[in-house]
Amino acid sequence: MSAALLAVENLSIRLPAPDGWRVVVSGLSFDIAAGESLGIVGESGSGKTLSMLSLLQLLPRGAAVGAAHARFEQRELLQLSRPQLDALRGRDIAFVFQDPLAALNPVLTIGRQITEVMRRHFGVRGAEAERRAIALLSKVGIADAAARLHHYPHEFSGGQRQRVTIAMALAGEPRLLIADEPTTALDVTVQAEIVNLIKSVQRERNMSLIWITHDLSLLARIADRVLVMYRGEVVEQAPIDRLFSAPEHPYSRTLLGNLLSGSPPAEPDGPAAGAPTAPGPAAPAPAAPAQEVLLAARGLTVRYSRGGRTLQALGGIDLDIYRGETLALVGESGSGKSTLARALIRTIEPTAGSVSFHGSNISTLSGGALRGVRRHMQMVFQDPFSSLNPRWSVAAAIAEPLVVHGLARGSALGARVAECLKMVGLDASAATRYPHEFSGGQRQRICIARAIACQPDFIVADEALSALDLSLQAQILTLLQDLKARFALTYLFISHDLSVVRRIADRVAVMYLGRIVELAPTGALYEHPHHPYTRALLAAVPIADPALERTRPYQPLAGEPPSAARPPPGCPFHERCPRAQDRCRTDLPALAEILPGRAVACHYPH
Amino acid sequence: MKFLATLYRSPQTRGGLIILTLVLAIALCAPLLSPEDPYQVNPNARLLPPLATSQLSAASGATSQGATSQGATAQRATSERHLLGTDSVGRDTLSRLIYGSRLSLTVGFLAVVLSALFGTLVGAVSGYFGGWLESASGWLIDVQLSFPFLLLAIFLLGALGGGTLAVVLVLALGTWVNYARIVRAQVLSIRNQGYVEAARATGAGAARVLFLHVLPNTLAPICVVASFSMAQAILTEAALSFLGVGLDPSTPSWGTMLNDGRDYLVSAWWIATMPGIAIGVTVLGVTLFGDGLRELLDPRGLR
Amino acid sequence: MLRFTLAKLARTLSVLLGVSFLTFMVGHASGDPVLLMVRGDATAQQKADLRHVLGLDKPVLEQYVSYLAHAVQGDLGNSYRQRVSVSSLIALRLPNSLELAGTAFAVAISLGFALGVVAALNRGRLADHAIAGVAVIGQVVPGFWLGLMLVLLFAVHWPLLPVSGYGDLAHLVLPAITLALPPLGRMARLVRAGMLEVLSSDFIRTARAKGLPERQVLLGHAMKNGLLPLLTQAGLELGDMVGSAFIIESVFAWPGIGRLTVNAVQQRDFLVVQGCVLVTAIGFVLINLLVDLLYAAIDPRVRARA
Repeated sequence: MSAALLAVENLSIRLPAPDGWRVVVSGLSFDIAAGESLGIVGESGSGKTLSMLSLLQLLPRGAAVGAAHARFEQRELLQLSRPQLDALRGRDIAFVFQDPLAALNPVLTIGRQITEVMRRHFGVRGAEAERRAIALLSKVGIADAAARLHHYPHEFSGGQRQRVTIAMALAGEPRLLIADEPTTALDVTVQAEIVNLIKSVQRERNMSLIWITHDLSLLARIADRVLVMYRGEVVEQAPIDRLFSAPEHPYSRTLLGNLLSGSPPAEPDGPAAGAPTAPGPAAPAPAAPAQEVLLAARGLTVRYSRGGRTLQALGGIDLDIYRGETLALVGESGSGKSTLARALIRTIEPTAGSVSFHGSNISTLSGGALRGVRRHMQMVFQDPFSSLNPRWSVAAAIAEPLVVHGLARGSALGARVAECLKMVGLDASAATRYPHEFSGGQRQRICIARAIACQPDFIVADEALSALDLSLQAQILTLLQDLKARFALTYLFISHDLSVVRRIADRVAVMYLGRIVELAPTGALYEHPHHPYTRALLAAVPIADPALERTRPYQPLAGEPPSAARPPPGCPFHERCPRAQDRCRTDLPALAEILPGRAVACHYPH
Repeated sequence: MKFLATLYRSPQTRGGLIILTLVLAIALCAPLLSPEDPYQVNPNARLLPPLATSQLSAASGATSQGATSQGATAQRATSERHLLGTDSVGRDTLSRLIYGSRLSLTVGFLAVVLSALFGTLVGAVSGYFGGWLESASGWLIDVQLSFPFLLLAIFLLGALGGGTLAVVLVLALGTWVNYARIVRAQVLSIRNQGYVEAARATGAGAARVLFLHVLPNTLAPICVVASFSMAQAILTEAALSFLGVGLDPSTPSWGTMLNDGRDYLVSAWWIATMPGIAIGVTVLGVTLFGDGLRELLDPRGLR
Repeated sequence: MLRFTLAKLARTLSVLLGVSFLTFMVGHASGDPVLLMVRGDATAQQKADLRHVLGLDKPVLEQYVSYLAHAVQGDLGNSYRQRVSVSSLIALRLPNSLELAGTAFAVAISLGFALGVVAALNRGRLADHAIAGVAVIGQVVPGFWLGLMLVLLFAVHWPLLPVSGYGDLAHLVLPAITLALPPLGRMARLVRAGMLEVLSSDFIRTARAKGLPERQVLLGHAMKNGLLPLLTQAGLELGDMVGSAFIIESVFAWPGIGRLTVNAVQQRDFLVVQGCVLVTAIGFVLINLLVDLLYAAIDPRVRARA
């Protein structure tokens, strides 16, 4: 294939193991032409990152790499000497790594880290190098580039840092850019921005792109061809359209199946178009007419002071949660959704406002009375690894709520623990074992068992699914809905993942910078969002349909999520809002009901 | 038990444990192993080189220790072989060395226990509750750390008198800060772990969370600090006794032997050399153990 | 940076006050100095008179304040034994201690750093193990014992160097080596560990991925990060060294402030002890301040946190 920029055949990688070698990649073959975009998808452990690192000989010491050939233009990459590699790295092939905070040197300014690339490959230094660096930074969307050149990595937000690493990678004007999960840790809207940025640079420079990810739907927007990897091997290689419409390998089908089993968010300006909806758990019926308020917040505000400045994490929230419903809180980082949940159950003390449970005010309770109330409110956390005390047995962990509230002792305790384990689908023998013996999904089940142990009325699930693989997410979701039906529970479901929320929630509250900007029943929200931020959020989520993605008129949301330390005056969203008017800059819109059951905080809703 | 097996597998901790067990055994069996009474003074046998023999005359028989046995044998002219020679007043070096292990280990151990308890408490409370407690203890730690420890020890012991108890207290005073700092750092990070928040969300009280959840997970670094401060305690006791402000000079400790030996360095080198080697071996054992322990606990979590 | 410095200075001052107070209190509790100064047959009245003259019958706090007031002006009182001012005694001895400690420190830091880097770059090979061996020996035996052994070897067995005392460069060699060996070992191990960690970190991988040659990766990226743990440790070592110097000065009869203090303690000459402790503590605190400031100058994250 003479047109190929990079041609790899039969790449294999072995790592040293206690008893010999461990094969992590075998038989990898692919090629990529100039200007082409190749996506590599696989779960962790599939070898996708290692294989790309090996091409630049960046693997850790001791790794053994072999290949029939790995040719970049006419050069055999695996046989290059260090000086030859140094000339190639950064100049012909550049890398963007996953975690920008770790990838950048914390004690050097970003300006220095960018200009040294130019100095190295083009011999450009001093003022000229700075000029080029400023141009690059502006191009990747960093405002006030000239000043920020002298800042350090920790002074940037996550999204901005990733832009910096992209600028650094582009500084050498490479012909091939390898991006390893560059947006995995970023908010959805920021992710959309970064994808847009890279695609536009690619078009401009006719640069080839390899994008590694575990999120197949993202590739719908990015790739021309896709490599599917599983346990170190390529199981399928196909043009993107074909992969999504007719996947051949069972693993590819599983990946796609997990994606599609929840209906993707609809087109903002029309009905859901084209995207297949595989049958999944039926969308829950809207809240029953019994509108008893279980938990109510009035004027709930949380402020922190840190280093002399006051940060407002929550600004005057009014919210009713009805008995038996699942209310979802969605928002990006800094939205305050976790803070709201914690303020409701008072693991964080609100600075102002009140919370009432079953009609009585609980904001002033303390000690034994508060503990009594706590019995009815439980929480499941995001990280199954740190939510369980590694030194406590599973039985001790599940029993703790019972012990704290004095609800059972001795053999009754053991019986209740076994019962809870059974309800979450685990064997009773798990009780005597320790958390580290279980997988992530199982641990999350243990955490759920702990949450239902003392028969609460209300459970907060704070990003309870985010740390799990897609297939596990479906299982846990089913479990949660099961338990809800059996025990008439009420859920507050916090998530940043809109597709998951759609499958479980009755109502959705969208949060931005400590305020609720829209509140609506699920179906209605997805079909016709009123608030500009909700629209942008829904638009930013990748749809698993390449044809749709290509034709979708996407307008990325400009700017960065704002910081709670310097909230803009007026509407918190006005700086990024495409519909902002003068009034938005000065008047804070209140959450007002515009239709029965729907509320928006906007001066000019759709 | 599984933990002990892991310990044994690492060559460092294994080596350290072997040495320590050896020294501990010597200390425990001191009366059986020691050829002579370490306090027994023999003016006729001063400064004898290693492998020399001495005569115990009838007149110089009884001391308070082992009076009956010595009394019985005093009639016979016993010749004792001094494998490591004798010191400035005729005491057998080997015996003092063997008994010295008892003293060094005991003083070190007591100092470590005291400082660990106090330091952990301060660190845990200041880390968990923060506020004025944290500021106050932080300030206290800074003040203490602004004295080089040896200086502080010399100062205190000189001012308030020496003796075993005083030495233990002073040693504990010097090392509690290590525990406080590390425990505080650990507590700060554990405080934000999911299971702590889960316990608090369930309604568990502060005391329960602190003692049942947080502290057990700080045990690992505490053990590492403990082994290093044991080493430090042994070395410091030696230094203090060497300077004459520590233990009573007649007490058979390695430090006092060094004090004794320095005056006779040229003429009787063995008095000073032997205890140094003994200290070196013991501290080596402790340090190896501590190093190995730290490596075991560091990259591997209890996942 | 300025705000950081001012905050640190304020903290340092409060700590110094605490130090001086504690020193004074302990000194005060240690016994009645009058008893040291009079003959055995002195009457109670004579003792009381002496106390009054020395100001020892005033309330404790008042004595402390007066002590502080004098100290700030450089007057640390007079030695009970020698009838000369404490400040003059200290001024005489301090330079000698600085000479010894300074030399030892320089040797320990520079050699320790160099050996640590060598060990890191030669991981697992002979050089690494040899350096580790030397480091361990320096840390498990008492420093002063090592000094005694060195004297036995190089001054008695092979009469190359003087046994003790103060004088020319030859006199400095043994005490300086003895003092430098334990910190040297610790430094080497720390630098080695730090370098190994830095060399396997992500941003070093990024530097290589940008095409930088290894020398630039080491010098431009690794060094600055590797220096950080060294800095804190260096400060700690200097403090430790002050303590060890006390003993080493005794072993080698080096006329420094350490030996002065030890002798004064044995003679119960407490104003001398107090003055020495105060001076040492001040020096120590200032060193720590310097280390903190240097650390903040190198690592921008520390500045931000303050």
